[in-house]
Amino acid sequence: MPNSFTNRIIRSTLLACCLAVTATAQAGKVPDLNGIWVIADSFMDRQDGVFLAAPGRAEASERENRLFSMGSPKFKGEYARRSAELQAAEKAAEANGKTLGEPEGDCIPPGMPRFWMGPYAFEILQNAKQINFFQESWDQTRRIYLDGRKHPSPDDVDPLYQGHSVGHWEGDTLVVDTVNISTATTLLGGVPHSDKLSVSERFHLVEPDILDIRVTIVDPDALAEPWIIIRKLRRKPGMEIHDYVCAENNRNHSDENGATQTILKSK
Amino acid sequence: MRARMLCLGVITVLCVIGTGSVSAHHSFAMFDDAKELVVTGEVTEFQWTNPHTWIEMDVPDGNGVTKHWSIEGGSILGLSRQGWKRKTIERGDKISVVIHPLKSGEPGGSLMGVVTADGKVLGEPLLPPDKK
Repeated sequence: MPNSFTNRIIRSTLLACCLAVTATAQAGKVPDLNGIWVIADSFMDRQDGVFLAAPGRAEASERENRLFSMGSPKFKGEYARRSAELQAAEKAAEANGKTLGEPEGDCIPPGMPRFWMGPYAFEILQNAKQINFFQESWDQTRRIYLDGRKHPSPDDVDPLYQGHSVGHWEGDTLVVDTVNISTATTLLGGVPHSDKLSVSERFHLVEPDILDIRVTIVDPDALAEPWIIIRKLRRKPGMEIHDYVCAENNRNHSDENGATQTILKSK
Repeated sequence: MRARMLCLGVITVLCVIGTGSVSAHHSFAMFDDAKELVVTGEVTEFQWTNPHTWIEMDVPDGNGVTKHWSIEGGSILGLSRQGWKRKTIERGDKISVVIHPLKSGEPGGSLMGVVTADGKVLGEPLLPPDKK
């Protein structure tokens, strides 16, 4: 009997050890996303000298536009009417050699969901409880909590430009849910959104240094269907983050009519 | 070659089909991306700054009059990853730039490429002779 008892203890101990080892192995399997990332194959990923400001010739322009495509949100109701108004206003401005632009021209960061327009380097800092996404333009930081917390009640906290994000791992895919995004941020083309906007994201490492991202944007008031943005990032060992103080030398702030200025020294 | 380019002054070289551009900070619809212009002159200041870099230059028109041009380039974040440094262009340099000019006709444009004082081509090269 003692033998049987001892065996049981040994078996239990071994089982506990195996479970612990398995759990550790699974935790170890969570992909490591730490590092500096850029939109794959874009001007940030090459050294062929195509400018951000003016990709130039048609082929380069089309390539960049495809890589940075924000998809096509389908607006509804009053948001569709607002979109049409804004497009007409932009067309009228362009006929006069002007452009109305968006809040970024006045150094206001895009926030979510246009965080994903980039276009500069992203930095990901990851630990077991939190993962931060940083984008160089406007020095934007998103904090995604992985510690199991829930979104706070919108009655208790302020809406934020980057919203409130919680995430978890489904196998080797990071799944993030973001709500409580400030209505000061805009969707595409300057169109606003409601306080019901939510963003879900799936991050999947398809190669050691290639991260596929699928962003699904839902707003029952503003969008007729989910708006999807696809991104492919490449990890860039050795690249370092530069600062971006938008007010350092902004010569493009908007005039009293909302048109983007180009401040010339000849004036 | 360099001497010849420095004699160009301001010449409209070609119309091309453009499709807009990727920009973080603001739309570039105030620039005419269907036109390319070569502007040659002397740099008075190179602003290596965010959210955009700027080249300030005095440009002789060939008739004894000098006009000042302001050329808007990409941000440090983009250009520094493409080999640019803060002293790539300096005050006093004689350079040629390729730009999309302002639609308003004012002396400004968005930078597509530059031939630096030492003859180095950065960004979009000047158009080949058969396209001029």
